[in-house]
Amino acid sequence: MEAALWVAKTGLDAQQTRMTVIANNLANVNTTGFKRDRATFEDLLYQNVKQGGAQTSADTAAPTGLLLGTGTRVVATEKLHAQGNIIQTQNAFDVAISGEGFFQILQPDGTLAYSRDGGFKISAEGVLVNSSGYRLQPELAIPQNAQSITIGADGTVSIQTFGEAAAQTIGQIQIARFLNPSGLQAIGENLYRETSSSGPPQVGIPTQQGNGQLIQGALESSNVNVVEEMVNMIETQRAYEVNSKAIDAVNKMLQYANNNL
Amino acid sequence: MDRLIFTSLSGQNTVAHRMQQISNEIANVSTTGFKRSFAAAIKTYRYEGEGFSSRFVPVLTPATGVDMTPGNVMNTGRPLDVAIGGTQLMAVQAADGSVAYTRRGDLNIDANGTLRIGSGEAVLDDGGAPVQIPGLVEVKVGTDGTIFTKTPGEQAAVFLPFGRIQIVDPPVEQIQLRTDGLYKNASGEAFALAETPSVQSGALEGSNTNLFSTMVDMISMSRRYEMQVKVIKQANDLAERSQSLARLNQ
Repeated sequence: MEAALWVAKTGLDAQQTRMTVIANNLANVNTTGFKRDRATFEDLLYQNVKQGGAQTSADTAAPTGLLLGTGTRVVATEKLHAQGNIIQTQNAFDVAISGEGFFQILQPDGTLAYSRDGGFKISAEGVLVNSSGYRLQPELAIPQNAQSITIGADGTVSIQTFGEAAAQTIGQIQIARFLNPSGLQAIGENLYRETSSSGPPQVGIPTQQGNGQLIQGALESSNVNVVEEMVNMIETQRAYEVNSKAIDAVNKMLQYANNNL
Repeated sequence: MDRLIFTSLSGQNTVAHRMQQISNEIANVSTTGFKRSFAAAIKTYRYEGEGFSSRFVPVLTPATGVDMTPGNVMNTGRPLDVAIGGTQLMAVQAADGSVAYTRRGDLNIDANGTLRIGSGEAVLDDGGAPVQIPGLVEVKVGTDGTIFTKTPGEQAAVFLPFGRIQIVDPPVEQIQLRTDGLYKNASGEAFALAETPSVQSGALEGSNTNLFSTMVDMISMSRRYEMQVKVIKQANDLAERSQSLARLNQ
């Protein structure tokens, strides 16, 4: 009887984890470049009470076995890298990636991180940085005499200076792609870190080799669908309730035995 | 008296097993592609021996297999989420290297390009080899399980057939659960390929746990358990009575 209690407990644990994932998705509904998570469930190992195909007599065998399940668990939270909406901001330093790819950001510890958040700013040193002040790689210095800046779909950055008719190219934004973007490790601050399951980054020029294109003056919004998360939340809540009901039922049965024997 | 207690006790044990099964179904209400097992049948055996032939002991007998009733299909829009049609199964390579089958279709491409399901097993193709996606390509799954890839840099949006996921369509009674939650053929052999494989891309099949019938089952099991307890209590009362009689006679 206790087995049933513990099996139902795994259900409570898993639904609780799923609720955390949903709450995080909903909390990040306005986070630029946020990709929603999905909790992936898996059934636990089964207990082999009776082996299928075992001899029941000299000439006969059990047609099937008796396997008792031991519950469920959340095996992974998977980032769903679907495209978020592109929102026009008219800010020259806002860049959205339409399609696949990540901006490369240099972290303070010297390692590279990857991000879909293209809300860049100019630092005091005149280089392009993200909202946390981390530099975009390859580094892009904006000359002080620049009057306007244009970022092309392929990442070419050009400026217009006072008194000159021709635009001047000052650099190129490159983006990185991964074979398995869901394998990237989210580390907060809209950044992802490369892992052995994501594979190595393949850096390239936007619009080439299947890379996404850049859109200046726009930001990619979170890809959280509020309605879908609400439905998920209701489902999780009900599943949690039913699991606790199972625990309650087993508890009452044991209680009945305790009181009456 | 003791016989009565032990007969009732075996009844309680079967209820405990069934309760574990029910709890497992409820716990897996959110597991992609989960199928409930049929309720274990409870068979009674007559105990031979002295006295009247009134001792029938219930024993849990093997369930008849996996309940292949389809679960809800949820639209996710993700190209690598596939729901498998009818009672067909998808072949995967289990952790021990053997061929196993599953209904869960939340596919992923790992760092080496191997196509895997959400719980980590590699998906097999028609030929029985793990599906390897070459490099950074766009992947789509067709309605018959064919994998289409689009090479990056191609100007025209052409998806070329690349391989096919192994979909089998076995008779339902041949499907047997493994201890890791995957399925196998009861005879131990591999299933033959499906003649008309049916796969729906952009959707996932949910668990087929029916919460209403499971709850009703749970209530009925609780009551059955209480009845068994009552019988044991009765037996105890009877024993007490006979002992008090014995005391009177002293």
